[in-house]
Amino acid sequence: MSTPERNVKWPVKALWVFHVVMIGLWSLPHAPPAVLAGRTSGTPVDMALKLNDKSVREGPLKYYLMSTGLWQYWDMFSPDPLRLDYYVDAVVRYEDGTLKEAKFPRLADMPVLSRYAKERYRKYIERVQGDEAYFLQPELAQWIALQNFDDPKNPPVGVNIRRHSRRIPAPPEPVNPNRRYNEELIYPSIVDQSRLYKAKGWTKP
Amino acid sequence: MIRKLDRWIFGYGSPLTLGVYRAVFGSIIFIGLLMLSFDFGDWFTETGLVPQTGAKLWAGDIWRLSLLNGVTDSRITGAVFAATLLASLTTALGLWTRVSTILLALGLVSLHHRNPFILNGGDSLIRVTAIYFAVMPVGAAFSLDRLRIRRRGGPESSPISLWPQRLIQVQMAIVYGTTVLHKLTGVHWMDGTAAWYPPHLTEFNRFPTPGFVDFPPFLQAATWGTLVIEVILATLVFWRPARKWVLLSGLVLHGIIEYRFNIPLFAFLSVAQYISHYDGEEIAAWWKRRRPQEVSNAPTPA
Repeated sequence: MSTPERNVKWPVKALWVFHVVMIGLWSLPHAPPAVLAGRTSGTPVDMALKLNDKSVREGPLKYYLMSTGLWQYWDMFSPDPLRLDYYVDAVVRYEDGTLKEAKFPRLADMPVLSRYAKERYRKYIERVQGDEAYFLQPELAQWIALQNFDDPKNPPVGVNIRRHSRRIPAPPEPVNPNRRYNEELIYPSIVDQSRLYKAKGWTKP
Repeated sequence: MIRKLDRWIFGYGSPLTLGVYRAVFGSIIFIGLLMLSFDFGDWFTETGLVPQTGAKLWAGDIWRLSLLNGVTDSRITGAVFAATLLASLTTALGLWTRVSTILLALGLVSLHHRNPFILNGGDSLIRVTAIYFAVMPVGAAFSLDRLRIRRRGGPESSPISLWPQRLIQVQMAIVYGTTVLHKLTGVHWMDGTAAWYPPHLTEFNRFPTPGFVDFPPFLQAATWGTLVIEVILATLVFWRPARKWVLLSGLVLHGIIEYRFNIPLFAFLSVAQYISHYDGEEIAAWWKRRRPQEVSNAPTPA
C-alpha cells in the first residue's frame, strides 16, 4: 500500500493529543478524601491527584467528557474488591393488612444463561443500596409494589426493602457457603397508589 | 523522537484493522443491546426501576447529550432503542457506515444517559468506542459499503491516516493502566489477597473451580498476576517483539474472568480491542496464509 503525499492537519493532531490527555487525566484515581478536604497535604502524588480533581473533574473541562458521553471510569474491583455478599428483597404490606415477601430478581436463583442476560439487576441493586443512587430507593419500592399488585380491591400500601448481607472472612479462613445472612431494613416506603392504578390501567374502586 | 511519534500516530496505512474492529465490536454491541431489550420496560420506562426523574437526579446541573432528555413516553424511548439496535447491526455489517455509526453513537449515549445505573466498565468502553466510530473511517474496509463500491467497479480502499487506530490502542492502554493505579490505592491488591473475595460473592459467581486455586500460592499468583498482566497490556504491548505474548496473557486473564464471573460481554469487549494492535497489512497477510486457495476473495487493504 503506497503512502499518499499528504499529512494530517494540525487541528486534528491537536484535538487527538488534547483528547488523549483528557481521558488519561479523567481516568486517574481520586486524591484521598483527607487530602481533598484539606486536612492533610499528603504525598506529592496525592497533591497532583488533588490538582487533577480540582482542575479537570471539577473545572470547566469536565463538560468536554461529561456532556458528550466520553466520560469513563476504569475502577473495576478497585481500590479493593467488595467484601460483602448481599442480596435485596422486600415485604409488601397490603391494604387489608396482609404481608407478602417479595423477591427482587436474584442471579443466584437463575440458570447460567439467564444470569448472563439479567446481570443488570445485580448492578442496579449494587448502586441503589449504596450511596451512589440511594435516591432511587422509592422507585425500587414502587416497582416492587407494582409487580405484586394483582387485586384492584387490595392494593399494596407499603414496601419495606431489606438487605441480606454477610461478610466474607479474610483468607485463609474457610468460607462456609451456607452461613447465615444478616437482615436489615434499608428503606421503608409508603406506596403511591395512584401511580400503581395508572400503571395497571385500573380505576381505584 | 517527536517526529517518530508523529509518524506512528498520524502516518498512513491500511484501513483493514479499523474495519475488522468495527465488525467485531459492532456485533458485540448488537448482542448486548439484544440482551438488554428483554427488560426494556424495567430499565427505560416510567413504570420501571428508573423513571426519568432518576436520570435528572444523576445528571445534576450538568447538561448531558441525549435524545431522551425529558422524554417520558415509552414509545419514543422504544423507538430510540430500536433504532440503536438496528444501527449496531448495520455498523457491524458496515452498511451505510457513516450514518449507522453516528446513529449508534447518538443512541447509545442517549440510552446510557437515560439510565446510567446499570452500566459497567464494558458499557463505558462501548459508548466511547461508538463515539470514536462516528468520526472514524471505519467503513473503508471489511464492510458491505466497500463491497458495493468494488462490485460497481470502484477503486480499492485507499490508505487512511492511522490516528483512529492509534486512539483505540491508546484508549486500551488507559483502560488497563489506570485500573492498575486504582487498584494500587487499595489494600488487598498489594497484600496479595484481592482475588480471594470476588469468588465468594454469590451473585457474581458463574462456573465452579477447584478449591485449591483460591489458596496460597495461587491466590497471590492470581492477584499479582492480574496486576502484572494489566501493566504490560498498557505498556509492553506497544513493543512488537512482546506484543503476541502480552496479548496472549490478556486472553488468558479475560478467559479466566469470563469463566469464573458473571460480567456479561466484558471479556469479549476487552479482547476485541487487541485487534487494534495489528496493522491492516498484517491482518491481510494472516488471512492470505489461512486461505491460500481463496486469495482472490481475501479482504484487501488496497
